[in-house]
Amino acid sequence: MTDFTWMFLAHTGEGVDSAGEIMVRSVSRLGYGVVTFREFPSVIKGGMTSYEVRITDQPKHGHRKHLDLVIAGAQEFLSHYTSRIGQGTRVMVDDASAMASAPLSALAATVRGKTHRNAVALGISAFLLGIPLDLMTDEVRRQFRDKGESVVESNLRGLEAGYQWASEVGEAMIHLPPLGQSAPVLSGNEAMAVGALMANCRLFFGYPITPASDILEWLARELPAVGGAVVQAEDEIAALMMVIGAQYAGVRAMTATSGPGLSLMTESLGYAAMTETPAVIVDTQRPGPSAGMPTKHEQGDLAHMIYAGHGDFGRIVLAPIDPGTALLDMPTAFNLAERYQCPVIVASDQDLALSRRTLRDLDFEGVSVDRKIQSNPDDVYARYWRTEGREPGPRILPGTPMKTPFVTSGDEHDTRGGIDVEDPEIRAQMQRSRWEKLDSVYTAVEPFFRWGQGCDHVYFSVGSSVLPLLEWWLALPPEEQDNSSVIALHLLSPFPTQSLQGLKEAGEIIVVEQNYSGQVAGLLAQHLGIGDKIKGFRKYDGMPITVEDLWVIKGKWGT
Amino acid sequence: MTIDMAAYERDHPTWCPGCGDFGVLKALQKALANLRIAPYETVLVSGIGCSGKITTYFGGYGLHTTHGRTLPAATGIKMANRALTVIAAGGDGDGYGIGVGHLIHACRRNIDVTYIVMDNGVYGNTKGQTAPTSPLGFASSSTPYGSIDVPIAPLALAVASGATYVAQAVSSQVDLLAGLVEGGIKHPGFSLINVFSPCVTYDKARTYRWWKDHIRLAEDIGHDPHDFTQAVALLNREDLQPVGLIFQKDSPPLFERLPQFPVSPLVSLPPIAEDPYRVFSRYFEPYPAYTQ
Repeated sequence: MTDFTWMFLAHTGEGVDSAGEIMVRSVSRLGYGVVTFREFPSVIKGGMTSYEVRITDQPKHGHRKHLDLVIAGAQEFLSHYTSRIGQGTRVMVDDASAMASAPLSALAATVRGKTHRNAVALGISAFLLGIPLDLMTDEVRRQFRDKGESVVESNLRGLEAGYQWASEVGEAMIHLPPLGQSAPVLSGNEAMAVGALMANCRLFFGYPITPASDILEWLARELPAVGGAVVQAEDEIAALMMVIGAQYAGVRAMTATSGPGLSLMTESLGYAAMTETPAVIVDTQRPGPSAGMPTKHEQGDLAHMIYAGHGDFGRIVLAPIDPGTALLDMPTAFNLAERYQCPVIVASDQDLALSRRTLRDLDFEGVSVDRKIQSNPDDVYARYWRTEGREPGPRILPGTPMKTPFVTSGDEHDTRGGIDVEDPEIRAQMQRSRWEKLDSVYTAVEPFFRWGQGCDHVYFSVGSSVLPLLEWWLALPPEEQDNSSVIALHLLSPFPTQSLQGLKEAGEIIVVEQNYSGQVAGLLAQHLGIGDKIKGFRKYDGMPITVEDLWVIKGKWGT
Repeated sequence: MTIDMAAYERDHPTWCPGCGDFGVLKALQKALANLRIAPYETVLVSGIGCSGKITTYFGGYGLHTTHGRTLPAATGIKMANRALTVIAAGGDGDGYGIGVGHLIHACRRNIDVTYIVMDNGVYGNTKGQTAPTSPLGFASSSTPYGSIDVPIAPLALAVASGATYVAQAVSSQVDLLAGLVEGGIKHPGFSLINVFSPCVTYDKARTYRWWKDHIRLAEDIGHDPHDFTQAVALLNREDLQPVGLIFQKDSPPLFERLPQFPVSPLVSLPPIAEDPYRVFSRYFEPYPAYTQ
């Protein structure tokens, strides 16, 4: 069994990300799965950036606290990782006075042409991990080919110098024989961006914000070629309003943001709900409130996504747990937005968004683009008519020939869209119909994912927190697994009360989430009245939960 | 279908009798009828306030948005379906107060949307408070001792922000205004038409009569609307308020600046791909497996 975590850390701007990318591609081509994590400060140059890659031949997707090999550009950087360095960790520092040094700078200096410490560190890593040098040579070449042959050549000399040095001073730590397989590696942000294209999303409107900007940038690059466009809006208020305009006119459009942006979008969120216009919003959570910690991780916006907005209205909130579910949730989100004519928020978080993970066994079978548009309205067409299942009837798009085109308004209106409603009955009926249309959402999407059948202990979680939890649970002794299960809540809103009735039979519910106040635990208590059965594991220090975090508190749960 | 002004009528407006907005509605209906654009090919996007109700009195498709957000919504609509004639309309509070940020960026972006601002210098719908274009010292319920802010200069702001079509009229000048709206609709890019639209209920000073005495038709004073410097100078004159076409220039509209933006409306395009896996694999092939 291979399970090895490699980390390279150096100054921000020293090519740490390039080194990480080369490592990811090299081990992926050998057939191993990866889980990456980047830690970076909110500065562009200077400060410290780390890139870690968990390399495994097991289906593991969480982060490990324990590091196996750390190559550090400076001794002082290590202090940040003291708690992650333990027995068996090999630390190599570019500092001759360090206990275990790796002369990255010195070796780089011996190379003809300009090379950097990242290339030397990769060479050392290739030897220590038993990665074939020709494979990594290929990947270095690929990474730097756009920068010209001389850059490629000097980096290759750095790589070889590191490899040579490592082979002279010691033995390899592990060997990674080729497994003869390969799979794509995606971050949640990449998955959501390509998932939007699968959903036939042609317009993206957004405002740059960490950690969601990758989606804007990816689509800005790729949308023009498929007949679409990205417009960078002046603020998030405009971004969501543009999405609503485009969706009103019949083109699938979306935006992606983080908590501060969602705060600004709140006004338009209510407008989409009131006008029953489809809209898709990704919220990539980071620690708040206010600017909080832009480059760090938290799940503190869950309640905001579920409740944001003045007035009393519903919306759909989906929470994917990994890049694979994030990918498939995008077409689902667009379909739900159109079917239920309401805003749909896809809840992401920094770890899901930025960490890259190997995706295996993706099933594209159920993916479809389901429109709900009518092109031949009769004279009695009412914009807000309902089908028998209380669901919204198909929409008419502006531009459709019609004797009396209708008005769509954020003011209260009747079923035909007429405003200046003063009649209490009409108001009550419209409020009811906007809520009741959402009653069947839990049947239209998987409301939760479940592993195991036991109900003495139910481990309940959301988003990327599910990954370490699941891995931790799979490592439990069989008898402990038998009497327990893991549930990942997928449909956060409307809360799938009907689907989760079984939780009332559970002995104990352990809610694992990443916020202080227990927002998921609060949902369970509110909707199922099982507050007395809930215990919580909550982390809110800006870092994702690791598998080891869960072992530490195991005793407290009495499992 | 006959396209005339009647085709563009809907409910009878509930504006106060004499409200300046009647003239704006009439000029808009006239411009669209003159251009032979069918009501179903038009979307009027309005904001909040007395002016925002214009969508409900107008015979085309209407999107009555939140306060100040007409331009972003109109931008989304036009991008989704460039075949539609998209008009945004709102008051001075909507466009120069809460939504002024969007105005600046719509000018820069040069999206092919015609924006009509019904500038009455008060918040009429909330009973007459001071607005962005109220004169300094204007006494109202929100500034009982007089407005402390100088009024915004919307057209100078627009010109400085890169606007490519800027015009102005009094709402009683229906024919002039209809012509300016037609010009704005035909103009390939963003157009801003500021309309002095008197509030007969809450502003007893700036009446139709008052405006008549203070305006001058730009062309009557030898103004060249294609000269930026002249336009800035004209907008800075304190002795008169210019009406007519103030500034116009050729500049590529948004769709010509966007890379490869389709000539056909996006809403009419076939799906990006029928097979989702084909879309995925175009970007994310598995890395080639390594063999020794």
